[in-house]
Amino acid sequence: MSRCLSDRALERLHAGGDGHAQLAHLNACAACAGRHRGLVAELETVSYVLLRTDEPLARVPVLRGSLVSIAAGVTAFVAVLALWSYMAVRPPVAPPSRPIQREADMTDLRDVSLTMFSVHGPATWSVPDALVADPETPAVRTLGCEWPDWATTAGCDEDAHVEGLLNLFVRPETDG
Amino acid sequence: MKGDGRASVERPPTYEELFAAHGRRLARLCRLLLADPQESQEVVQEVFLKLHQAYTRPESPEDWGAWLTRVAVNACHDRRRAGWWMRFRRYGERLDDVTLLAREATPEQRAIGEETWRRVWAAFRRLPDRQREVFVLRQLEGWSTRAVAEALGLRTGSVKSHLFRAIRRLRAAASEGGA
Repeated sequence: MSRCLSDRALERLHAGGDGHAQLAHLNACAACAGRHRGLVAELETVSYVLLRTDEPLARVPVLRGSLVSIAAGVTAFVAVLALWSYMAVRPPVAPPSRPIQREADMTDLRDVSLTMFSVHGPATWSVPDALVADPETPAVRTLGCEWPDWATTAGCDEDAHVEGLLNLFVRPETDG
Repeated sequence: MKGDGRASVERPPTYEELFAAHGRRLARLCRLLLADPQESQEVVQEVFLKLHQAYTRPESPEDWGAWLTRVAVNACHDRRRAGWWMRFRRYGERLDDVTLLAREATPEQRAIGEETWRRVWAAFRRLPDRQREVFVLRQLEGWSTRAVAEALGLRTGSVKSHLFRAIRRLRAAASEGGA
């Protein structure tokens, strides 16, 4: 090989490349040997710098650091916006329909409760003054039966007796 | 391969002798590979913890220096892969994009010229990880191509290729505008 080696060829040889002809030329050519010595010297400088000197301190540029913060902020904003739009666009969920029967039941239960436990409530069945003054009123006596003997009293009809007793009381006034 | 770390006498080196012989070298090696002083210190402690564990085992490596270097290189490699996001935030910026803080140059830095000093470090930090590892082990630690290939799990051809590219870049940085 008569042509001198390029810089790339020299560097490749130094890195361990297998070029027998190039190696032979390097050994024979004073110019290439001198360039190779220059390469070795430069690498020694590099090694010296890396092994014997401290690394220059680097300051993180303000813009680079703020870019990360801006990206995080934008991401959070988009997430909040997406959540808000989802909540806004979402069709309203209708409450489960309550059967009308349920309201009627509640009214009945309230009436029963007031009737049974309330002393002064407006729904309380009231007792006529005449009945309070004389429990043995003729209306009662005409019923013909007397608790607890109605089961043994001849000719006593329990249903008619109860209905008669209820008729003695004043039924409360209700809204509906 | 350099640095077998064994004492000249027959007895194997003690843990303290190994620490004294290789502590500073490994700290420098990890500092070169990781660029973060705190992280490299942690890796060095991790390496010597592994040395302590390995030291008590019956089968010990022939060359403690090479063993320590291999463990340190692998630990640095794992660190780089594990915390990529942290490193991106703290060290991801390219050196030529940042402002280098001026400080008083040491005599060594003055000897080689401040510009060359900055350019070489910047070029070294810009090297891809593999090229940096190969250059450190082959050029700075003086390992053979085969030993580097075995330590890094590469083929010898790949080691030569990585070394060639690293040399090309670093040489350009060292000679640029200078001598």
